[in-house]
Amino acid sequence: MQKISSTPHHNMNSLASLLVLPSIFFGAVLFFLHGISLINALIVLVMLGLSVGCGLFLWRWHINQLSQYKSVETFNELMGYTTELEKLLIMVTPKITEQVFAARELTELEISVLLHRFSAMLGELQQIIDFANNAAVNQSMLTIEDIKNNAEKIRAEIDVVLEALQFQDRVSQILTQAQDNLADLRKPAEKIHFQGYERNSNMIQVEELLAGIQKKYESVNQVSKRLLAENPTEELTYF
Amino acid sequence: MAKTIMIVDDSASIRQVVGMAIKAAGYDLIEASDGKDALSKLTGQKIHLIVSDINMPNMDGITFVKEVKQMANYKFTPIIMLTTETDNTKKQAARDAGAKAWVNKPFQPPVLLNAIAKLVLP
Repeated sequence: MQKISSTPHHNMNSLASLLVLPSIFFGAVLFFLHGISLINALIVLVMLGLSVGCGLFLWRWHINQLSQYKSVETFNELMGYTTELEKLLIMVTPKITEQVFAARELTELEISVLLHRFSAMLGELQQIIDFANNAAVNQSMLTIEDIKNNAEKIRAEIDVVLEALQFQDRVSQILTQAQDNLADLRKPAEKIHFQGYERNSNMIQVEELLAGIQKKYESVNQVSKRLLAENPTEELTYF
Repeated sequence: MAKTIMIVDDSASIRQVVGMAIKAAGYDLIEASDGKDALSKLTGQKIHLIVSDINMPNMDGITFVKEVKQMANYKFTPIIMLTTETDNTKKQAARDAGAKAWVNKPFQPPVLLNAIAKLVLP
């Protein structure tokens, strides 16, 4: 760090020495030709001042140009990086959205197929119960009771399955939210991509975007926690 | 004659789950995908009870309840809110709008059927 900070100072000293050399040479020639006088001394001093002034001015201009060039170079690098990020965002999000959509479709299809199968099972179950009731005259009461008990057990099992299927529905809803979040992410990236030079540093409003995603996630997470809790919150409230 | 229950939910799977439980209990079913769709299906026929979700596109459940309570044919139809929502302010809003009960998702079919049996119009 010390080395870096002393380098420009060292350069400035070398430069000052370099700048005064022609003036000293000019002064020596002047004194040799015209002798030492107050006027000659003043001329030499003015020449010294002018050469140092001009030199320093040119040096500073040169440094300024260099730093500007470096800034432009850094800015271009940043622009390239940002463009790559935008491209990544614009190209990757549709793929993820597509996958989320496919997962959602499959989940919903799975729910639908399961529901139809259980619906058919319920129908068959009802037929068995009806048949058992109609045949009650020719059967012993124990057998009828057994069938009814079994039917009740199966119905209870189906109720559990129906409750479990609602978790699948929740998964589908989470996937829908993920799909929406990805679409929200893509929109500002596309907007910026087409805005070119009219960009500013906070156009994506990442904080706002993240807050929205987090809020949606928390609402889902809250439900998931409640669903997984040993003693879930009150299931039914009458007003 | 079987009583008619309307289920309003944007999730087709939930409509199917509720539908299965309700049909198995001997009720007839009318399905609607959101509040707006449900209002368009309330055309004067007798509906004995409505089960509605809260968070839905086009028209949410609370607005739907308010609208139903403005309709002469359905202002006395009991409405059960069936939702994943846990926000107490929404619960209060549903109560103020005129809902009769609040059931949390995921629901146990017997719990919903008991609530329906208790509230359904004669």
